[in-house]
Amino acid sequence: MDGKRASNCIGIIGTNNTGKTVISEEIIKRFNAKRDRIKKNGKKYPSNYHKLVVFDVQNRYEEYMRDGDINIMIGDDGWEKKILALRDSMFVADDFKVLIDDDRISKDLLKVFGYRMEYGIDLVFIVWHPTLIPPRIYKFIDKYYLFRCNGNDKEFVSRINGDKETIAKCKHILDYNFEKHTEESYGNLYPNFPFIFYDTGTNKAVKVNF
Amino acid sequence: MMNEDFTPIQQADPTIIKNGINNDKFNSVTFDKVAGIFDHEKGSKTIDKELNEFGDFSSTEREEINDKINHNADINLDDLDNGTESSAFDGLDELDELGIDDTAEQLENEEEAVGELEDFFSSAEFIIWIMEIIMVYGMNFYLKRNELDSIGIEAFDKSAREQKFLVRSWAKVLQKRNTKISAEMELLFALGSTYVMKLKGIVEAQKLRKEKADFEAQKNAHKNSKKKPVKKGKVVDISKHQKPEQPKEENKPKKTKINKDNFKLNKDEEIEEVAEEEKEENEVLSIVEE
Repeated sequence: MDGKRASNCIGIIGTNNTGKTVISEEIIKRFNAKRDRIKKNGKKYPSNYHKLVVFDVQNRYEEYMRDGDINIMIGDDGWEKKILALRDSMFVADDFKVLIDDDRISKDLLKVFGYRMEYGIDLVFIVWHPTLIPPRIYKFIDKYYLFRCNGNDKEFVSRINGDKETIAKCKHILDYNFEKHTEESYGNLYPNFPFIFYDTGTNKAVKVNF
Repeated sequence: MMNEDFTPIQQADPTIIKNGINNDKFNSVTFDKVAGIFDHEKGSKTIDKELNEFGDFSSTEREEINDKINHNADINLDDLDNGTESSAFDGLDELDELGIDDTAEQLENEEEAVGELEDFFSSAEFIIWIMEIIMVYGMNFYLKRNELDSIGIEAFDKSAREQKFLVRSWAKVLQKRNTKISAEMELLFALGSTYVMKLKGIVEAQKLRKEKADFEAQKNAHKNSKKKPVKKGKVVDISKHQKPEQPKEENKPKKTKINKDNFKLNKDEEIEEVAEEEKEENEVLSIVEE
């Protein structure tokens, strides 16, 4: 194994206070750990490699940012082109819906999705409901982190790209585990923020932190 | 079975969630197990090529390259495009050529409008079936009012060619829901041309059958009336009825005097005539008795 991998396009979906941002922080920590390993190896890379781009409405990622990383603000123009200039990097958008103004997906953003494999850019989108990801984007998402999500099963299943039966089962598990402990705080009972990791490519799902 | 050693996703075999609610028997993994998808560097033709080229440069040249990258405000992205085949585009080029707007809502509407005609065939067949049922009820209402026999759905049997034509016409209507009336009128004409003549023929045949049935009934009624036995009616007092008019005197036939002598028979001849009459009577009686 040469240690190389393809980039990931991940959708993190869940209602408020279910642990979405916490898990996204864990992802960034992993990315930083890789950056540290590479730096330690001493191999030289172009300066557009191994960068972190974030859309950080809650200001949760500041401590993980390093030189050359990009923090996108609402209203910034041309941020898509900045991502396209990077290689083997990661883009994390917390509350992605806010970033996409009027659901207009620019051609540059489509290029980000289109070239993500070739340029090695991991894309991580965080929304609190499946309807908040534009349909066009769903085509590109290959992995999901599914947290407890409000809304009916039909809405949930119809929006998420993948095997409908598996997705429906994921929804049932998430709802079931929440509903059977309604008298206690969900956060206290599940301090590790449980979710279901679903890979659409292999149609396999696994419970995490339950 | 759960794979404890959760390697990067390309080699992982996570536990499949088989049962919806009864998931207690499936153990949960920690985030460390799934985080492997973020480990390792990424590889691609572009990255490998750039890194190889970068590695061939001297340290000074690398610094220059990095300075250029860091001040990349003027970088033309077209230069970064290595022209590689992008299977990851998933039809983006086609979408751009179609000029589809980027708004999600508009995309959904346009995707609905630009569907294949065949996608509407099943709906069109269903609508035709509904229309035929409505027409059966309407026709039978009309037939009943005219005392004709009702018809069934089999009256709307049609050739494969007719069916295909109707389905396509309806599919076009469904596809172009917001278009001009011409498509709807075309469909109405098609329905009319297909069914009007057919129904007309059915009605004519019904009328003929009814006329024939009425004629037969009339004929039978007349036939049966001759064989009816004479009913015993009441004794009619003739005296109460008006006597028939007596012919007037002037219309009465004149009586002619008859010379009795001319008609006087010989006594013997008279006896013989009486015996002859008696003999005939006896013969008649004997025949009756037999």
